[in-house]
Amino acid sequence: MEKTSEREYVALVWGNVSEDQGTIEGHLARHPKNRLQMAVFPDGDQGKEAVTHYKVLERLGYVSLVSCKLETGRTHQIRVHMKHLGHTLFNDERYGGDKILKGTTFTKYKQFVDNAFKLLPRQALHAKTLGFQHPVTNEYMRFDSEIPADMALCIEKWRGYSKHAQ
Amino acid sequence: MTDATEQEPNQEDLFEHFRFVASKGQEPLRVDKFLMNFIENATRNKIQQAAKKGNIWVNDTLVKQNYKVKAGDEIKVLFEHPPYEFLLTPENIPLDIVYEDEALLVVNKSPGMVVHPGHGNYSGTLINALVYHFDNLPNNSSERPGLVHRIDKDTSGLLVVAKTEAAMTHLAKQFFGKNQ
Repeated sequence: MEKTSEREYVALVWGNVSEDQGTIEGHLARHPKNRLQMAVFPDGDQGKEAVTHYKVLERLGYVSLVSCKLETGRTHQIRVHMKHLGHTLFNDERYGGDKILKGTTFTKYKQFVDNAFKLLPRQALHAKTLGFQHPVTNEYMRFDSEIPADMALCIEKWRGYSKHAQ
Repeated sequence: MTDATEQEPNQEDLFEHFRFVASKGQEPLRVDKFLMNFIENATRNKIQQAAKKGNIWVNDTLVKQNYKVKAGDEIKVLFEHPPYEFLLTPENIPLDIVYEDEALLVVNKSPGMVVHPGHGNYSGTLINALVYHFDNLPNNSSERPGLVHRIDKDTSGLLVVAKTEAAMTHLAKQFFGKNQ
């Protein structure tokens, strides 16, 4: 079947993503020990197929702003796939992103990150674009949305910090 | 005016809340006592009331509280209202509707809003808001009116909701039907 839907997310992730773009493939299933988490099974012997295409939008020092296009839509797909790549989502408590995963040990840095956590009290993930074929008219419809205020402010703080640090 | 023709309730119109199958070794036991053993927080009085109201069925036949359960019997407790976890209370929660027509709508979900009721979240969900703002949303298999796909609670962003059965099927195929 031809692909007639699209979902594009924007995520702020820990670390400087090495490639400008790439594809993450890896089956997803419930974590064997922690039922609240999903986990990647690269061998494909368990779980369901999942594919995420990512692209770096902006490098902000210890974090990166990425766009993620879903080929499949599995539970926690982006959160788990990005963690698998070594770039857990910023402030994603369930997957350990609410700790300082990159950066320095300076008190000032810790204060800066704690403040950023407060500005964005949730995982830094927004479903920005949604596209599908209209069921009645068959017309392709595409919707785009703004990054919400809490996330936009957090990104702005990181932008400022990375400029200042350079 | 009183309605003299008290009709036996039709099973099709009721919602199943409990279903048990008596094990092979089941000794004959009054159904009210049987249910006492299986339903948490049940009282004999409540069960007998339910029996009087016609809520207890064995092998698809309405029974009285003194019915003796035998091995292999299928015992069901049915009520006129859906089970609590599926009881959707319409709530006047403002929604950011980006687009709407006869077939569907696109909502921009705010961060923190849960999409559908479930473990621990029975109010304040997107579904509670949707059933308030829209009548006759189609039901999918899991009693989540209009829902085609989901977004995690703490993720914000765009979500499409179907307003008709046909739109629901069409959209679900587009999101989940591709070689998966």
